[in-house]
Amino acid sequence: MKFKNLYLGLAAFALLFTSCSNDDDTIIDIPSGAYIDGVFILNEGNFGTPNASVSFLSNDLVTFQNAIFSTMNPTETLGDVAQSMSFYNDKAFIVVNNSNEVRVVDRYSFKNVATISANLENPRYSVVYNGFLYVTNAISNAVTVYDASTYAYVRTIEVGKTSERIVESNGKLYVMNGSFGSGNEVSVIDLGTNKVSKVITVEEGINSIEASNGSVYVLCGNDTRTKLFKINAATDVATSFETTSLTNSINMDIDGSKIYYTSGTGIYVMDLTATTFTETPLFNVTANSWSTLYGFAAIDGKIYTADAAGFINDGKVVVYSATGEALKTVEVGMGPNGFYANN
Amino acid sequence: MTIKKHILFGLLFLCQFAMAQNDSINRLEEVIVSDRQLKGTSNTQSVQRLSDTIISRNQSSLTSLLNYNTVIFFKENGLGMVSSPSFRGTTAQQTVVVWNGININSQLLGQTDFNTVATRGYNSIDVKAGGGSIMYGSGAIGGTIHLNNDLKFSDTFKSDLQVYYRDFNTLSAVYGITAATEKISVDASFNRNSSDNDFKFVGRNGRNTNGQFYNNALNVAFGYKINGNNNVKLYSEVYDGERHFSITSPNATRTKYQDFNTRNLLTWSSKFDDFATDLRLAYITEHYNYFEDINREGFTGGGVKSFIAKYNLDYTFSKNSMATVILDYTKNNGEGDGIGASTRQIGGVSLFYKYNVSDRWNTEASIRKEISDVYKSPILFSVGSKYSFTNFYQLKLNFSRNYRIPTFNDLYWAGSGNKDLKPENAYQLEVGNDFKFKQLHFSVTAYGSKIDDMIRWLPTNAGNWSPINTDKVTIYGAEVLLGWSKKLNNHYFDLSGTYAYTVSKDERTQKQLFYVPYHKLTGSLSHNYKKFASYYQLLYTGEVFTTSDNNPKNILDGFMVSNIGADYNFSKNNTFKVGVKVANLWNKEYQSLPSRYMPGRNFTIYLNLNY
Repeated sequence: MKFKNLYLGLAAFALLFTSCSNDDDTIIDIPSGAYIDGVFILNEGNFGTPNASVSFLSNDLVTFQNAIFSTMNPTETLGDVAQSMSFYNDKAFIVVNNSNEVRVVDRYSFKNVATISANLENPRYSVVYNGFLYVTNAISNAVTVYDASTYAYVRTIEVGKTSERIVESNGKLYVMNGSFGSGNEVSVIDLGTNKVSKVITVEEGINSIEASNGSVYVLCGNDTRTKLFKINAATDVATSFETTSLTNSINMDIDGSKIYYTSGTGIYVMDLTATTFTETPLFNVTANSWSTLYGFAAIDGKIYTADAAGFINDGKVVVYSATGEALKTVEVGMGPNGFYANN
Repeated sequence: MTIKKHILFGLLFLCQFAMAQNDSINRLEEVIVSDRQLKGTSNTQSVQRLSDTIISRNQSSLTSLLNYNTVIFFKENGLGMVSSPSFRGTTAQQTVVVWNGININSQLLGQTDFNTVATRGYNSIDVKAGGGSIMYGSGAIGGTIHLNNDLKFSDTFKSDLQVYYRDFNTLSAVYGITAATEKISVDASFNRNSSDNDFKFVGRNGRNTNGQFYNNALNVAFGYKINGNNNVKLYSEVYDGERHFSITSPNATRTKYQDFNTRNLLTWSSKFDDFATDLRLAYITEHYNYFEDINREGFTGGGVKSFIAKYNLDYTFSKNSMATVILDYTKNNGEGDGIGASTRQIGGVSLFYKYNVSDRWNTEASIRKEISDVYKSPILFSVGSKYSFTNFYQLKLNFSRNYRIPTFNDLYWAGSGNKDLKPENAYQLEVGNDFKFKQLHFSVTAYGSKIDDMIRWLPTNAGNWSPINTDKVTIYGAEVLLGWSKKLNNHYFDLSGTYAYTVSKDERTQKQLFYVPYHKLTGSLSHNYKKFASYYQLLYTGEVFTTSDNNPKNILDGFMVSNIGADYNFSKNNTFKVGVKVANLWNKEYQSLPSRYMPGRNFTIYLNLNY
């Protein structure tokens, strides 16, 4: 399985480059405990080193702060590879992959609340639905379930395949069975039986999944084509369309009625109702390293890009307008991989 | 960079060092080179020999031995964990480990993990700084480390037992036998190292977790003199080790890694008239298993089996001139998770010529061309000269072109490998000054090198990682090696030290490479009085940047650690030595990689028996 291989690969070249852990400067630019109306930037850190961090940028792009977790919790270490984040009421769940932990923080103050570790085996992504937190696990190929209020472990749902990104639609969970550019399936979990009820085959190169308006959108990209699947969450039947002029498209993000995605250094957009891909980019980002679009999101018409700087420097985030005008550039933590709106 | 500037630069450091001499330490032995090729090509470069005495006084890992006795910097993922060198400001894959004349760097990773080499099975270890080792093939850009099993042909029967017991339930034991006649020589040893490695951190809560390891190594060398002109030798080594990788956050998945390596080498050397030939046939295997979760059965594994044939033909034209032709062939068969099954073949022709212009002036030159079915190789060369101005001063010059080929993982890793990779390419110039006044030896070597097409794994815009020829680096620096010994009545003092100043700059950003310290210093002082011996070791590593932009908030502080030890020999004629050693005497908190803490003060007791 490639995913596991990648881990080994990472372990192998941890020999070559392993990096920093020093805490970021704790200069507070904004009032602490006021992390609202802005975007959290998750900096995963170096694999094998507990130097993950979180940055915050306000929606008006005026206030910005790095290392908010260590600022608000000076005696705590966030951990090793902060992979993803989800929210529930006033709490945020930060999945810390290589630490086998989900850190629970207050989403507005970023004060540490609790740490979930039970039955986590290389956790990747999470979603909260109906009072439960569902976490995918790479080693156990399973979804582990926790009470989203007490953080107590509830059960494990076996998936039996690579379990990566997870979304909820129509009371069911959709788990992407692929990672790092390989895989071509989506598993559907029935929450009545807590079992996989269906496996939907998509295209090789599955990389993004989003739920919107009763449908689940799945983007797959490989060396020959890019394909978008739209799964009707009522019937679990998928329809699709493809392009061969754009290959290896990734980073699908739905913002309102638009679907954004990237291919190479190009940022593309199409309507949620589109039946063909837009093949002309909205704009191109400057490729100043090999990881310019390690993190990507479209939030309220603005485009957030994260350059992981090859994991040898602190990353850089550039926020663009919908027309590609750079509105804000900030230096963040090590390996920025994602953006999470906190309104 | 002009040569003049280098000499000036070198002398500048010499002065500083001479003044600082009183606080520094250890010993530089006169170089006696056993490896045939090393002997052939090392006259104009710096070679440092670590004798069996030094080997036995250090911990049994190659990391620890070289860290305390040479200019090489190590990135160690905690005690006994994965360890990679930076020699003369280069990357981990640019230092080659040579076992009895054969390059044993992993074909998968391109480097040797210096914590998987158990030092006590070798009679001596040579450290050659810089490029120019073109006969050893890929990777010898920063330098080469030579592990030697030397054979002597004189009537001997000796057996040797060394047992070391250290804190954290750490055991190191070696039992060796040396038996020889005028015709046959056998040297065999078995070496076992194990540790719970659960030391408490200095200055913070917690202890090293999941760091336990063990390894066993069996070394056998056998030599037979067929007649005055012919001899055959057989060298074998089996290494079997398992390490758990220590974790950096409390709930992290516990992993472990197993290494199983075998090395077999058959050599046949003969001499007739003005010719000498040397045929070497080697079969080397490396295999690893990686358990991504020790509580589960599953693991991934892989390995490479390599067959190497080398033929040397030396022809001596006259007392002052000698030439060697070397033909070699290597076939690597790799197989494993991630790389599938892949084969690589490399053929090489090397020519070496040595000419003594006068008794004082020696010159040497070599040239090598490789042909491979996988990559294109440039013509490699090395030219050098040595001039003895007086009996206390020698000047050495060497200029070489070196390279490093992509590894199996670089080329074939599923979904990531890049078959278009070019070899890394390097030019290097060095100027060495050797001084000798009675019992004091020291050398000052200044060097400069340029490396381009350096291979680095980077995340790509296709959402994957891939190796890419990306970086260009300019390196310059200076090294000082010092050795001094003195006998006063029954007291024998021995001092040695090394110091390196290294600037290794990314040409694009003009920043120092991360994990290359500007300064590193080692020293040791030993004292023998009758049957009593004591020694003190010191290691200073300057601060290192941990990010490539040299951001001052991502700096790992420099550290100085010391060890001290003493032993007493109770036997009249042989060795029955009992000793004690204290490592990290001042209980310093230090690490060579972030969050990879090293142990505080710890104790070793040991017993050496030799009959």
